[in-house]
Amino acid sequence: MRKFQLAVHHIVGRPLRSVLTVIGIAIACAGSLSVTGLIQGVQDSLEQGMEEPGVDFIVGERASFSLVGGSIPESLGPKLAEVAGVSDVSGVLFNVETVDNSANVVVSGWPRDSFLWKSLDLTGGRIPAAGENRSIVLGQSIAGALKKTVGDEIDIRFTKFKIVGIARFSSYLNQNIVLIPLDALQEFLSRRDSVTFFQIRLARPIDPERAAQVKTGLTAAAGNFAVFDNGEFTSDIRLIGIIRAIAETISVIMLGLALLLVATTLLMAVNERTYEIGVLAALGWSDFGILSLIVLEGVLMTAVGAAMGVGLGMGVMQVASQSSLAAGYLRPFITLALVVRTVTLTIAIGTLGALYPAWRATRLDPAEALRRQ
Amino acid sequence: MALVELNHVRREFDGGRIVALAGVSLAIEPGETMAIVGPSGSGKSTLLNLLCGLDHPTSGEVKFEGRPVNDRTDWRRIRARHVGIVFQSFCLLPELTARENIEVAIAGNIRDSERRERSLELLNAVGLSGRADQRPPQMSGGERQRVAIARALINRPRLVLADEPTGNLDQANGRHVLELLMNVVSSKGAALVMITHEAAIAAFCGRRLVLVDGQVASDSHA
Repeated sequence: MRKFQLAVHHIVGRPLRSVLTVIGIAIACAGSLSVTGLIQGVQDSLEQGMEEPGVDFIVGERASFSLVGGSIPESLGPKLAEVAGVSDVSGVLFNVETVDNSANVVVSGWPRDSFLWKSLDLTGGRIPAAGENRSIVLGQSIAGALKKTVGDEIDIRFTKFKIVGIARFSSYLNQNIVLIPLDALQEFLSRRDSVTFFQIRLARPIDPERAAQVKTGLTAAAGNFAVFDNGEFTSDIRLIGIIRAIAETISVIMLGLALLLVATTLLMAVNERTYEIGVLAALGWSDFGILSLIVLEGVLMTAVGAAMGVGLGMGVMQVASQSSLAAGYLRPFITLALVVRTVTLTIAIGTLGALYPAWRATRLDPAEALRRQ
Repeated sequence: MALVELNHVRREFDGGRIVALAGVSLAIEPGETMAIVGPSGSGKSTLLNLLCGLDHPTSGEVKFEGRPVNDRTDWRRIRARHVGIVFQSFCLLPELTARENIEVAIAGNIRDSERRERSLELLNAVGLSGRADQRPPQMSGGERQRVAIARALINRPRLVLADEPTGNLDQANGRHVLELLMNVVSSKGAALVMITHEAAIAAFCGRRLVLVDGQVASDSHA
C-alpha cells in the first residue's frame, strides 16, 4: 500500500469536506491569479497601445501619478523634433471619460497632422476633417460594445460627438479608444497648449546603439521631463504601482486564507483519525512516514484546487474584462509564468498549511491513540 | 541472547498514584510462546505495550536483542521490522481492503509486485485468499482477526504480540483463529507473547506468566 494511495483514500473517504476544501483553495487561487493577471493586463494593454502605432520613445513627466495626470507644454514638441534621428513627434492628450453614461473609456487627442492618424487602419468612415471639433474615431471594440457605427453620436459630458470613423487596432487599449483631434480635445477639457506626453518615432532603420544616442539627445532636449521606452513609461506610472501593490496584498491574503483552510481541514482530519494514526505508529510507521502522509494529503488537495483555480481565474478575468465600466483597461492576461507562479505558490502554501497538522500527528502517543477507538 | 528483556521495569500513571507494573523482570527467548494471564487491571496490556515500545517504563530497562532501547524512533524501527502486533479490536483501517491493510504494514521500499505477492501469500495462509478485495466492514470478526494476523506477519517478525486475539470472537471462531496464529507463528519461527483471560487458550503456549497487581505472581514453563 503506497502512501499516495492511502492519501487518496483519505481524501476520497471524506468527499464533502475534501470537495469544500478544494473549492476554497480554488477560489483563493483564482482570486490571486485574476487580480495579479488583471493588473498585469492593464500594464500590458498600455504598453502595447503605446507601441502599436510604431512609437519608439515617450517623453513624459517623471513618476507621473496616473496615465492621464501628465501636463507638458505643447511647445516642447518642435524642440524634440529637432533631435537628430527623430522622424516624427506627436503630442498626445489622454483622459478617461464616461461615454453614454455607461462605459469608461480612454479618450486620446492627436494633432491633426500627427503621424498617428496616418497609421490608422479604418474599417469604416474617415478621420476628422479640418475644422471638425466634435468628430471622433472609435476603436472597433468599444464601437461594438456601444452598438455604434459611423454616423452615430456618442455623449461625453453632455456633449454630442459624431462618429466619423471606426478603426481596427490590435492592442486592447486602442480597441477601446476614442480618438479626437488634439485641439478639439484641449478646448473641450480646457487644457489649451498642454499635452499628457509626446510620442516619438525614430527614423528607420534603427539599431540599439543609434536608439540610445537619440534617447540621450531627447533627454537633453526634454529638460525636466523624462524619456522612456514604452515599457518604462507604463512601469513608471505610480498609480499602476499602487494598484499592483494592492493586488499583491489581496493575493497574499487570499493565499493566506487557503493556508488556513488546508491547516483547519487537516487538523480536523488528524483529530478524527487519531486512532488510525495510532495504528500506523503501532505498525512501526516512522514520524517522517506519518508526517509525509498528512502533508501529501494537503499537497494533493491543494494541487487539485490550484488546477481548478487556474480555470476559474481565467473565467473571472474574462468576465471582468467584459465589463464596459473598464473597457480598454482590463483584459484577460495569462502567461505560463503567471500560471506556474500562482500554482507553485498555492501548492507551497498548501504544504505549509499541512505541516502543523502533520507534526501534531507525529506527536500522538500510539498507545493513547489506540485507546480512542 | 534473549529476544526481549525487561529489567526491573516499573510503570506508573497519574503521577505515581496508579502503579501498573511494579518492578517486573523477564526475558523472552527467540521462538518461545508465552501467555500472559491475570485479572483485569493486573498490568497485562501495559506489559505488552512495553515489550514493543508502545509505552515506556517509568523506571527500569527494556532491551531488544541485547540492546537497551529508549528512543521512540528506535522502537518504531524495531516494530516495523521485527515485531508484529495483533490487537483484540483488530485495528484494521476500514477504508482499505484486506490486502491493502496488510500491505500498509510493509516496512522498507519493496516493489509493488512483491508487496502483492507477500500479502496474497499471507491471506492464503490465513484462509482468506478469496477475500483480498473486501473491506473490514464487509467481513466477519473472525475474518478481520485473520487479516490482522496476516498483517502482523507481513514483515516476517521475530516477535509477535497478541492482545487477547480471540477476545472479540465467538468460541468456534476464537479457537480457529488461535490455532491459525500458533501454526503461522511457529512456521515462521517467531516468538509469541499473548494476553489471555482463558486458561484453555493459555495452555496453547509453552510458557505462562501470571501477573497480579503489576507483579509477576508466577512464571512457569509447560
